[in-house]
Amino acid sequence: MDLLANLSLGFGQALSLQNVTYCFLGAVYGTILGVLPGIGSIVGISILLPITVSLPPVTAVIMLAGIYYGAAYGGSATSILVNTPGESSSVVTCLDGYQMAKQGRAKAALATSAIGSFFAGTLATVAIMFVAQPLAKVGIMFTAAEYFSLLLLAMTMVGTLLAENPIKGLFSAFAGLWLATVGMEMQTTQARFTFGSPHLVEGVDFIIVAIGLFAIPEVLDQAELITKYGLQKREQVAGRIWISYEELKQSFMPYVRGTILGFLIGVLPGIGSTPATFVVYSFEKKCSKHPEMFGKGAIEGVAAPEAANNASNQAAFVPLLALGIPGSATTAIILGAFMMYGVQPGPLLFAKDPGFVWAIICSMYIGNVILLILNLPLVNIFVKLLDLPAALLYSMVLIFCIIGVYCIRFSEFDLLLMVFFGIVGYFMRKHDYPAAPLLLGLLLGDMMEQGLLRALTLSNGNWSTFVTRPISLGFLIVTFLFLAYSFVKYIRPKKQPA
Amino acid sequence: MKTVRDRAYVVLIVAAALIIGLGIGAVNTASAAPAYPSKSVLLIAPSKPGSGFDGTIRAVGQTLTQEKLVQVARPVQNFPSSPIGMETVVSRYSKDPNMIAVQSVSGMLNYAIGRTPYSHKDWTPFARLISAYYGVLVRPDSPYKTLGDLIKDLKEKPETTPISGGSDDDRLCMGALFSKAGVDITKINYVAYSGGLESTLVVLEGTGKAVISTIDDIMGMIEAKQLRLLAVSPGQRMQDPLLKNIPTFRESGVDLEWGNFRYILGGKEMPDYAVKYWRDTLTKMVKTKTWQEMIKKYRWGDSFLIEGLDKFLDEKQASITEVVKKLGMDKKQ
Repeated sequence: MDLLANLSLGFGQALSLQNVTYCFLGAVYGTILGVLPGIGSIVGISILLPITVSLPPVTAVIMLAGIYYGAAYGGSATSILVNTPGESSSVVTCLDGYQMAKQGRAKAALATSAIGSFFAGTLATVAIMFVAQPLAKVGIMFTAAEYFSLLLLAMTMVGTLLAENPIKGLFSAFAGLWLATVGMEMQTTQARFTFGSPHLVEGVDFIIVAIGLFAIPEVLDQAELITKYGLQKREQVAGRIWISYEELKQSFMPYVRGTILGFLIGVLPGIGSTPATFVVYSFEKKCSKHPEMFGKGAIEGVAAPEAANNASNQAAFVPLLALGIPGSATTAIILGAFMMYGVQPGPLLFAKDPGFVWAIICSMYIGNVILLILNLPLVNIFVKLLDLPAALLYSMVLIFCIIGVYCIRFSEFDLLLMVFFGIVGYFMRKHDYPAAPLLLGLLLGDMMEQGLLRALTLSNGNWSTFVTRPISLGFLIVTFLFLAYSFVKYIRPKKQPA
Repeated sequence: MKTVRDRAYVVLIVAAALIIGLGIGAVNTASAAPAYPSKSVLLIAPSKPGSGFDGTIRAVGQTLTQEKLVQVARPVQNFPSSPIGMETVVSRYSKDPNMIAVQSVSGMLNYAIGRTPYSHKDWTPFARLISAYYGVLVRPDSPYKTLGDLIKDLKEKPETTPISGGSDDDRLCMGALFSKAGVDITKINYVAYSGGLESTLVVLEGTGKAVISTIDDIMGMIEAKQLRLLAVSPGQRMQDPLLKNIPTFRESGVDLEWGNFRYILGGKEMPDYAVKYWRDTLTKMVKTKTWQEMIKKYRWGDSFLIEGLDKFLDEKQASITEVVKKLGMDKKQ
């Protein structure tokens, strides 16, 4: 494999004026859509699909990819500024990002998010160049049992999200798992908790719940504050000049860990970037010397998930380019687009049309650079939003949430769902039930159940499959060790006074 | 507004404007009959972008536009799922002459399972356009050389012969195929995935012994020789050079031909002139070079049918309902 030759082939195509322009347009469009709550790359790409058909295939895919990462960058902005996730993978950024904004460190949060995304995106592209084929082969070894065990491990990490209220946190987590069962279960075609309505057959949409639990209660809280204390111009705590060197240093290792872990998780087909952000956040908290700062504005809590977000988005291209199998929901649409453009996806794509593949890979570099250049100045612009009076700002947030949620699938039912979860989220806040475990349960519940059911179908009901398959056994052992360690740490402090 | 008289004038003028406007509208609708379609036609794909329905109706739209047959609206209207989409079609567009949509076997499957109360009798099918066919595939190193080998194992040791495939129409094809072959399909360990491509992974890894999928979905795998075809589902051999040596189900000993066909439809109470117009237009469309190229590109089977469409749909629905009942997919627990 002549790497240099391939790179020059790819860059040659990717750097054409037309391709760079369309990449830029895609990135801008994606960022705007990412900012709009509820709408992410999936809706964005769907809307533009028909227009892209008239473009040459390489240009079209470059544009779609630009939308994909643009949305990731944009979604974080609203998470940080107003606790409103712009897309599913930006939900975790709300946890610490918004706290940072409340402390007047919004610029630092936005900057670390942009820089982390660039770092991860670039590294991920390098990784794709070298390890796409071998990683894809490893990816194939993961079947249902491995997915189940891996996700079980991820679920146990919810322990790190429980913070001060383990009982309430567990309640949230189980509520999330239950919510995940709503809808039609694929293996048995049984519809559960759908109350006969076709609207719940696909289940409860993660982003709607996230907006309901994060954004709406914040809006209501702000309304309460205004009611109590009257309309006030928002006190803008003297924002620091952008991001300090100290903060960058703090963000570096989180970037690295987020990128590596995010990439590995993103490579697995079916697991998208959102689980990656949750896992990376928990992992980062575990690695941190001051875990109690997480949830109160720890910059690592923004840096790692943002890096993971981009790393996993790009990792999703690994199975797509190497095997023709989509790694995430968005790449599934891109795959459909391939066929519309007349490109045959599959393992032979690299061999049959290397120019196409390398042009896409090279466009990833270009896309990341474009987004960095686009987003750093945007930091200052976005932060100006915080100067708006709270009443105006949060009313706008509410309006955009409504527009965004409606645009997901043009369903009024979704709006009702958002309102419902908004009310639930409000009460959860008042009674200190953490929202993150619920979201994690909702996110992973469906995939875990599918893994469990499929693994048992494949083994004809034999439960030992989870421990006889080596990779699955490995994950289960780590899960057990993790739980044992956490349990020991939990009971130990009580022993000391004795 | 100084006086009551002024206000009265304003009301009169507004009323006049309204009446004139309505009148023009009415005249337009009335004269729409000879000048149909009077505005761009709405294309509905009752599924998400990137899916089969979506691809089909977009192809239709593109061909109609390129061949200057009809002016279609953009973009295609999508829905999160077929039941939700068809509910809108039935409730909102039954009488609308300017809407067309696409449906297929999956709609019939949904009806049989009970996911939707609507069947093809709740709208007006114009013409069947295309068929997509299924294949049964195994890993190249698999001991199964023919479909018969697989069937033998499914009869004798289904517990150790898990099969994978998509959750809806692939599963249906599996049920139809193997029940016709005499296998007890309730004993088959079928692992469902949301897409044809995803379902190949477990076979590539080795735990899955065979996969059933729509052929165009996994052409890439076939080309790369990552998977080997045992048999294909149409009545005659397929024409693609990679596929022409693969026996059909019938040639492999199972008297069945099966496909996922897609047809274009309009509202149930669509005016007769509109229905006739569409039947004529679609007949013209399938003969155009653009459409023939579309079919080639997507590897669809050209199965244009108007005469006898209703009978075909009735029969298909009946056989689907039968398989669904056998598989127990319609059971509510």
